[in-house]
Amino acid sequence: MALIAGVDIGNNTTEVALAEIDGQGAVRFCGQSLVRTIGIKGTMRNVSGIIDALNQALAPLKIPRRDLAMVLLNEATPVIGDVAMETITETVITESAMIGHNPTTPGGMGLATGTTINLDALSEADSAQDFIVLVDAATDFQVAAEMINAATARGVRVRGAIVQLDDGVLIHNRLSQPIPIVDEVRHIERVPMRMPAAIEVAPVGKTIEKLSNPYDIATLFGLSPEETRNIVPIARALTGVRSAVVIKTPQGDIQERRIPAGHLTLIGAEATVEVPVDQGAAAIMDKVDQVAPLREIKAEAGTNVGGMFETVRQVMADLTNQPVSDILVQDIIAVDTLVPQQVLGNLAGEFALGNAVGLAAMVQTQKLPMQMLARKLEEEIQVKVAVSGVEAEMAINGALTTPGTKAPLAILDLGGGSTDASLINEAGQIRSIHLAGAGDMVTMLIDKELGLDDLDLAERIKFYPLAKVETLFHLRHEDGSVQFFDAPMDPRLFGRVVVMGEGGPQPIPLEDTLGRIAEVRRKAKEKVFVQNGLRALSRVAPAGNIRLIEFVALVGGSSLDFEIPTMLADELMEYGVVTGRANIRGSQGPRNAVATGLVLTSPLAREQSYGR
Amino acid sequence: MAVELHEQIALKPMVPILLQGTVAPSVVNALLFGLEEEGIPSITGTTTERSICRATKEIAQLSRLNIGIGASAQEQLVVLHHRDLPTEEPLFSESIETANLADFRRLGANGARLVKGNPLLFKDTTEDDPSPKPRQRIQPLAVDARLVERIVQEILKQLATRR
Repeated sequence: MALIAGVDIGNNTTEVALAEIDGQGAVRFCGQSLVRTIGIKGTMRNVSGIIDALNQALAPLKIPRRDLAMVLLNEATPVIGDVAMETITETVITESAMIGHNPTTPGGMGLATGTTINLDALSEADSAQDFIVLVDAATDFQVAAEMINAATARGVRVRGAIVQLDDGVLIHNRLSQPIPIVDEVRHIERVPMRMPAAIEVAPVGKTIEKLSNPYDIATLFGLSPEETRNIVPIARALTGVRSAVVIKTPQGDIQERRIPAGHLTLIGAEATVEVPVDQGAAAIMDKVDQVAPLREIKAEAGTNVGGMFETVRQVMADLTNQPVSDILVQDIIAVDTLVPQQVLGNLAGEFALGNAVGLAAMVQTQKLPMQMLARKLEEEIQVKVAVSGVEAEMAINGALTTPGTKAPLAILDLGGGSTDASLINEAGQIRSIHLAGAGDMVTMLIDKELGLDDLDLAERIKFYPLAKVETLFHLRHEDGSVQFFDAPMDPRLFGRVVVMGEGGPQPIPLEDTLGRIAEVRRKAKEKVFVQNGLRALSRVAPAGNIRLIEFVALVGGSSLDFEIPTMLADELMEYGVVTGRANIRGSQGPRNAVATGLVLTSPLAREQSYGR
Repeated sequence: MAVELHEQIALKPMVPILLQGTVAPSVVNALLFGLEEEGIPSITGTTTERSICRATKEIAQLSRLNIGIGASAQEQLVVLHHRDLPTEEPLFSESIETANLADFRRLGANGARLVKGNPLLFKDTTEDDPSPKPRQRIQPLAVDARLVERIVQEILKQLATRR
């Protein structure tokens, strides 16, 4: 009887499987553990994590570590991935030509046109004209209301107002004649004076109708067909807002500008193609398919993607003690996305959605210095340590312990940095592939699309369901169920969309609805994992045909996600493939596949002896 | 306590504002303006109850909106209370001596937001900036010459070892 331990050092977690193997080679599993990986995988720093994991697995059995006959490490695949994003369009306003935003409480409602005028100049204004009056932060709302009323009484036609502070309703309530008022316009000093302007405030629960339509703007300002064409970006930028102002200035203009994002050079076995990043994800991925199999991908220096490529190669070079020039980016995945950006030259913090392309890259090298790690570990624990087996093979051997599976079986390893697939056929031959783009890319997409600028929060939004705090004492979960609390919640949570993490609800500092945040989250997961799942499986499938795979078992950290497995299963159903989260040894869920595989394929174990 | 106030708030959706003693009109107005800008009607009344917390909690329980605001000259305190909160733990309280008018207007606005279910305002959050953060542009850093010198040296050294 020999006690052996299989140890799988992953990018994020280190997992152990313990088993007793008798003289006949029959394997009996008796323990397992999971700890965070310490240091980058394949480095000496991993040792303390491994020892910790071994101790945790041994503790319930009350067996000292020295009784271990052997520790088996996997030949970890040296794959590192990283992500970056290139924004390819931005909106620029020259000569403050519009305001469009969603103050929570604008004043009045309706549409009005007039010439912009300062509140102070109103006393000398003539009565033959229509005016839109500007009220800055220095003016008390009561004074402003009085002055507007006085002007109205003299016959001056004040048709609307633009206000710097959150005073729209207060001013409106004190006017003798109701007018639409746009408030919370932070940079009111940038609004040009004595220019024709149109103002629109929508009723509660609606968005503006006129100023978001180019022909209505043309009607209001008497624009020529040519000028109407130029106003289209304004109308587009004003779609979906509650209140808006459009000002016609001589040179006033708003443009959607394309930002140069450089080229990617895709070097395949037979051809080399250049593709401009700003052509979007579809164009990039088309070219990737065209050039496949890829040898190397290069990005232009000075771009975000170029910088990311350099970083990821450098990390790998440091890790494996190889020159950077030997490390090649071997796969990319591109995803189109929309990111909210502050409009350049904005008046009230307006933002417009810019087009962006998210990219993940993957580098792979021959070998990590696992032998060095094994020797170091052996020294530390005084137990024989061996490096045995390739990660992908071990994973699939472990995955085959999932009840209800048999070869041909494919596993999809949904990790943080890369999506990996392996396939074992009836003859026991194994094929595997590593692709760029996984959980970290989903996190980046969520972060950028919501404009969070907080990766930790984006990570939690990815991992946990959402809820809306409806009163101080209850919240409504994403699925509609309601949860009550005995004690009042933190007032900072009130009225907010929250993410239900382990530490209780955490507020998301956005105005977006729960529905939109959930939509962004789901779309990000679909864009990355569904696309990559299909890409990976078709690379390992016989004749590239996914239909020829019978079983797909999901493993890896992202397979624990509460919706990714369902998305993949839905997609793969069309191919007639049985898809599900693996259940290693019928008890471990999608965890412990590699560690289990290591034990099963050890020299002591009789092949196929795990007794299914 | 005014009987009329009790009747009014039981009939119509209004936020009651209870005043104890002579509270500065500017403070009361700030509370009223906060509620008005958010579009929630309010009504003021007086009380002789010593504890403004207790009085406000009681009025909150009578109000159809479950919310009450109280201001006490004696205790120099303004509180925002909710029906379900413990008497001595109002949701927000501001000292008349130390808080400014913007604080009272915010307290009034929060009363209204509590009714509407909108996120509340806090002094430290820049609520006038609900829009997403602007895209980060690379700003030229103000670096001192010595640091640059050190970085350059380091790079040169690494380049030298690589050859």
